[in-house]
Amino acid sequence: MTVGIAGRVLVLGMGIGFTAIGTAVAQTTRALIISGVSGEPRLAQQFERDVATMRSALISRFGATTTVLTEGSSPKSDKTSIMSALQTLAASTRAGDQVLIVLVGHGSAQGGEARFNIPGPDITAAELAASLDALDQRNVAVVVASSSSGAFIKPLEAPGRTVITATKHGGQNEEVVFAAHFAKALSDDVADINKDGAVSLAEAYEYSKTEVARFYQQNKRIATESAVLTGNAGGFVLRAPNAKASDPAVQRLFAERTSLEQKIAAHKAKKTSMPAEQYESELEKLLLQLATVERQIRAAEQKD
Amino acid sequence: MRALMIGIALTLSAAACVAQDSGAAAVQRALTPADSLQARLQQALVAYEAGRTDEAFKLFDTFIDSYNSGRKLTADELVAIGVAVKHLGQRDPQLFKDALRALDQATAADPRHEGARVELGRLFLEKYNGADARTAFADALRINPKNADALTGMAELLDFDNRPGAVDTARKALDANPQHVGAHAFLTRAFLTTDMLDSARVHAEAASRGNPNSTEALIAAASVAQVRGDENEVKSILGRARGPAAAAIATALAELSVQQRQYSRSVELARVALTHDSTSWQAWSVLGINQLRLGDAQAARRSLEKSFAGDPYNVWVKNSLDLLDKIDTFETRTSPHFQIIANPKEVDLLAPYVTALGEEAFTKLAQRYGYQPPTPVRLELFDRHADFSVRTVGLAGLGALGVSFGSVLAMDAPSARKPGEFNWGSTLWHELAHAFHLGMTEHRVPRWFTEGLAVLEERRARPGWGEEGLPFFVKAAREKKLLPLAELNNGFVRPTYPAQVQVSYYQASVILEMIEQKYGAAAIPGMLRGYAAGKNTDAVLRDVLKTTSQDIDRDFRKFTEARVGDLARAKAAEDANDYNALVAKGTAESLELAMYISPYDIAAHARLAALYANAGNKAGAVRERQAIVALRPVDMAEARYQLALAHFENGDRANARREVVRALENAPNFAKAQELLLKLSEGGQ
Repeated sequence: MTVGIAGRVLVLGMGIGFTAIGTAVAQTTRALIISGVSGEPRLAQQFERDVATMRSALISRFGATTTVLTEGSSPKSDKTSIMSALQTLAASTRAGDQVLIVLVGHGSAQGGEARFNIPGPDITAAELAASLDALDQRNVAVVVASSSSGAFIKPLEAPGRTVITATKHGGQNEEVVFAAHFAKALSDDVADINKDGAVSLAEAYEYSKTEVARFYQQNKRIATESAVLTGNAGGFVLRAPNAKASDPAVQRLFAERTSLEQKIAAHKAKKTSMPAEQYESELEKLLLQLATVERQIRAAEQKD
Repeated sequence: MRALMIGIALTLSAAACVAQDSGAAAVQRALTPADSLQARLQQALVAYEAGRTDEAFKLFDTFIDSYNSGRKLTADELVAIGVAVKHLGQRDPQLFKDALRALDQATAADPRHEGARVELGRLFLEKYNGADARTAFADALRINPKNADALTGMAELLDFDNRPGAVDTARKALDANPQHVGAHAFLTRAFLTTDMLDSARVHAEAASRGNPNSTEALIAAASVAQVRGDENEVKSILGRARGPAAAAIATALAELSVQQRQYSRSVELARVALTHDSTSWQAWSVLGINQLRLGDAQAARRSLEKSFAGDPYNVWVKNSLDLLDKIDTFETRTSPHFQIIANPKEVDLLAPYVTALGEEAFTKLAQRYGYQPPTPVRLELFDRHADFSVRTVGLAGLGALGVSFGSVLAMDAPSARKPGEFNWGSTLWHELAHAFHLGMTEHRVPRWFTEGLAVLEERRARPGWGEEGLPFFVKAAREKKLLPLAELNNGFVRPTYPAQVQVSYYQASVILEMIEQKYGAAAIPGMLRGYAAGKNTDAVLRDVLKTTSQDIDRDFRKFTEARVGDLARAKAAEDANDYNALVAKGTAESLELAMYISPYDIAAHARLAALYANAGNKAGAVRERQAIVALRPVDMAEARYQLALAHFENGDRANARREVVRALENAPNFAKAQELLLKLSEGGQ
């Protein structure tokens, strides 16, 4: 017990040394992917494919502990299992950790109540929202990749919580393609617009939204879904774990990197208030310094 | 916000139309109480025509009192009031509505009053309302199909609407009244537009015989003198008129100058008009529109604002002012011989392509003709077709894709149309060719020649360019609808079937191709020099080629047989303009051609960039990467990095540095871009 406490203190000590963006992951990321009732083999295959892609990316790329519940898994994605999984998430995470919940399947909004179709009684948006209360102080993001998912926005919205839905309201009740593009955004570099090696939910959302629109345009179909995002998706970042994060030399480089990133952000904020030539010259100096530090980090990461 | 008045129109020539039957004789007619309003009107009109405008407007003013006197007015009296109040509208545009009211009451008082309906038609037409003008003239003709005034009005309307049948309708007016000055004046103008000077002269002389001092007759005579190049005669005729009449003559000559593509002369004449009558809103309009054509936007705005303040019905002036507001938001890029003006959202995409193609065209045309037009050549690219259309206002018979006013060119940007609808590269080449030919001949080259030569230049530029008219030409040839050379200008300005304009463009180009083949490479430059010296086509053919237009027609018929059967040419034309096929083919040549149809596909630019890089065409790769950045893809950091790399490989370290910093500005952790920045700062190759 004493060792456990000491171990925990030690981990905490290491955590304090890290700061915000560009550093090794200070917080943990956990994910829960829930795939509902498919209704036909074609959609079952599609859901399975999308879920598998997301799971693989979350685990292999971002080191996120991921739980998957489907209509075919054991336990399956019924209400009891979902509630249990959410409770486990609450117990195994702490303040500041990231929790990603993704729903892939069919939704409905009949009678004004948003529901997600699962084996057995459907789970309502209100029930889901209530169970998320236990994840207070975590950085929670819920992605509802289903028809009529727009009806989930209001019940799920909360301060500090990100909600992404495949449709903008419950009336968009046709089958959606959002999940496939969201899965690709997690598994590929395509969504990493700022090239920082991480994928924020804002980037994943923008990529998915654009690709969904392109799908309907290229297939000459009327778009029956348009995604919505609420909350600070930019603050939810999926980042690959860094094996050298505990190395003090690397930690110093991370700190230097973070400091330079902050200086660059501050300099950019002054862009309109200084002559263009001066802005660019000073920016270039800062970028060169950052590039030098990042080169050193990459070199350190490549050392055995 | 400019508010346009709509609803009615009034022509200055209406004063002349009424005056033509009055003149001095009517002034001397004894006044009786029964026709005192008509007599007073004629007195006012004579004063107006003679330039005694204060006196005229005092008399016009009295008609309002007559109307408001409360006594029951006859239809004749109401028509007189309508015409008088219409003149007052020149100083207060609201009064046009009162004129309309009086004329409406005239038709109500006497539904069979032809004169009332004719005056209504004239009022509507002058205030740019073609639909109501047509109704009014048609009503007059239902009452009397031989009403020469109504027939002439209808001819004017058809011309205004750019519909066929105007000349025939004017001829019907002459059948009804062989001395009708208005009909003769209209036909003078119509024949001058199609370079049929002899026919124009006949009608101008007839107008003078009818009433030598009427403004319409003087306009007709002065117009013929201008086309003949007789400046002394033009001055002499202008000297015979005063005030509004003199302004009307000078304004008509300014408008004729536009048809002759003499835009500078148009500006001079409009200014002359304003010295005679500073309230000639039409003169201000002509002045402003042509100042804009010559590239003087500030002066144009002042003139157009003045015109609009006096005549808020003029939709072309309003549109031109709105266009100026739009152009103010555009940005300019320059190249050695061009100023490229376009919407900021696409100027950086289009400018490199315009520069590449435009400079190539400029060099080749300068070499061929031994001449350079004044530079910089100003090229305006409009991303809305409606904006481009405003630039061509009042210019009949032009292709609707681009226009040249000399060294000022305007055209649709590729974004103004659906992808594949037109080839903007060949259009650019075509319009630039005009700048050369118009400049070389001081704008004296006839329509058929300059259009035909510009199409021929397109064909020389790229395989398949300049061949869009071929299918129409083949069909017209088979249906024996091709015009003889002497009438070819008609095909541009007075088409008699829907495709005749396209046919005429192509036919003219084939004629010139045939001339070049038969008479040698020096033939066309020689003909251009002939036009520059003021010769007409017959004289140019005789003096330069030692031939006649009839011989040209005969040779052309034989030449056409081969062209009509040339299936390979038709296929090449189709292939050169099939955007999807060019992109699918995927070679550097085909992708380059595709960009001149539609440059908005990022993937196509990326493929072309890679092809150019592999082939060692580093400048080409830079241009393609610039285009991708200009199209603002989602992944801008990657796009800027690739552009930086292309600059670096092209030996341009300064631009490479600038672009990689821009890439990193929004993606500071971008590893590849960081390495490039470090390489540049370390002096790496």
